Amino acid sequence: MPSALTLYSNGVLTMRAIQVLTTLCLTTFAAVSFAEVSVIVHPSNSATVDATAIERIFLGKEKSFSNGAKAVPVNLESSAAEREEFETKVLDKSSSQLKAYWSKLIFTGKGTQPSEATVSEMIELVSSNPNIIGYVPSSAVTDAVKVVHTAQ
Amino acid sequence: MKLPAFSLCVGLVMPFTAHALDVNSIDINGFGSIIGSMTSDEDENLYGIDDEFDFQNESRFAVQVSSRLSEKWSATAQILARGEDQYDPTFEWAYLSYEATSNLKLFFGRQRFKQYKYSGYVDVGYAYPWLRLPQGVYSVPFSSGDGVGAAYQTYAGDLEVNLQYNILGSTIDDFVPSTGGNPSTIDIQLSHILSLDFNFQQFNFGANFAYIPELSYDILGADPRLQGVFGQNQAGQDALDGLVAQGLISGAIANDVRDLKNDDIEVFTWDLYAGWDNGDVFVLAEYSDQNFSESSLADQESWYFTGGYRFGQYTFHATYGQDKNDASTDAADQLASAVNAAVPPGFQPDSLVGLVAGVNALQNAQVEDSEFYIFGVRYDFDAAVALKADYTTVMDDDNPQREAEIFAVGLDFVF
Repeated sequence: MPSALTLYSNGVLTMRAIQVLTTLCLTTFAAVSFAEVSVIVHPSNSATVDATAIERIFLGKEKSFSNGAKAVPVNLESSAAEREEFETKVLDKSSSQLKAYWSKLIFTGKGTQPSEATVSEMIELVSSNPNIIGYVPSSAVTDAVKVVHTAQ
Repeated sequence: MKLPAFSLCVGLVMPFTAHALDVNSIDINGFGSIIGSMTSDEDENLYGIDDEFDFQNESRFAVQVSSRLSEKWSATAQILARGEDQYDPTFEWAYLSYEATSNLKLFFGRQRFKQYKYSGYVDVGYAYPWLRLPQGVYSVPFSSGDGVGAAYQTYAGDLEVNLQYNILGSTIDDFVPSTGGNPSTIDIQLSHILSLDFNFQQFNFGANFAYIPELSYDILGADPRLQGVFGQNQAGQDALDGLVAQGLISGAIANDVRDLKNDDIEVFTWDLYAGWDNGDVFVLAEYSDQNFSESSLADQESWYFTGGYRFGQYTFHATYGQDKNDASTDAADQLASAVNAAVPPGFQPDSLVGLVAGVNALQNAQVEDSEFYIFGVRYDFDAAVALKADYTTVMDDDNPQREAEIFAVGLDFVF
């Protein structure tokens, strides 16, 4: 990759430099803002899992899937970029708004926050238990899980 | 701090069942507020805040430990230490809960009185924009009680319905009324509290009703001015009995005066709120009304309207409200006019003058007609810590002693 200095030729931004910068910008932008998140369940889970159901399950408001089976949501670790992606795109809340939301429920005995897992743990959990619903970056999806919703 | 690693390990090592994620795990959560506050003038003293900048008065720290005992049963304790109590810890919540169905949860033990929208988490500053909830509504003594409760949650289409019903009793041995006085005991018999809360799209609205069949309150301990009327010194009592015996006042008026002793008060409170929040802009109004049967405790009517704007990590908010307290009895007025009609002022014996003055002081102390503004900013600068600054100004035409400007800055956090 050319260094920043070589992008300039006599003070003029060359065509090549513009191409490189554009590519860099797009790549960075894609990595930060457009990582696609896939919501996943066990392949045998036949329930209808739409955006509303996902939101309710992850906010602790709905505790079962549409087919009546118990629904256990699992979050990605709070350090994962896709966690924030999921929270803003699917739950439509910032992480501090969600913290405030959960503190109301936790400290009044109304609910407990979903457990957390890494991406590999998430695939393992969801593929081994039909009650679990989680999410991973779409690039990490395997045949062992079923994608019910994507957000980007 | 949540301890998911342990429960997840259990899940990964054992054949993973639906409940392995939760059973046998212990959740430790907590919250706290470190708040410094002061009034703008040495004459101003409100909510226990004076013109000396102080970090103790409003700060608090709580730890909650919760353990799932089985698939349906959990045990939870929340221990709260307040700076104003020298961080002497108390159990605000201590209950067993039972998940009867996925919609219905039952609670046994110590729980919060949910009389108002924020009652359940009044001390969790992180959960609301202000540093200090509007005090007209949120300065009631009955925070926790012991008994049973049921919480039911369901959906009717897009409408989320939350119902909560509690039967709670409580004894508070260090209540100080908003009108001042010494700490005194309040005893609340088993009371009924019904809460309704609804969410529909970006709207949240609800109502709370509380009925306390019998509240007793040791006014003699709280207000020494009444010692002459009801205390061990029998002069006031004898004067009252004498007035009745001579037919100068009716037995009913005498009974109203005696009722001020607060040993058998019936209380009914209700509360309505409605808000809208689209994530960026929010508005909320809450109105509350407290009625006491004839007693020395004032009937109270309070409301506020608040609005705010979230701009990235910042939330700017403004609130306006009014508090109106009226005497719940006119015993003092009736007594004074009956006494004056019977014995011309100037010829009244000291015992009568003392009686009238004592009862009158008690009635007047209740009256409040104030309004307030709160302007504040919240800065969510870290994942679970918010920095806040509030300015509050309270105006009371009837009682300049209750007027104050308060500056406060603080950190609210959860873990």
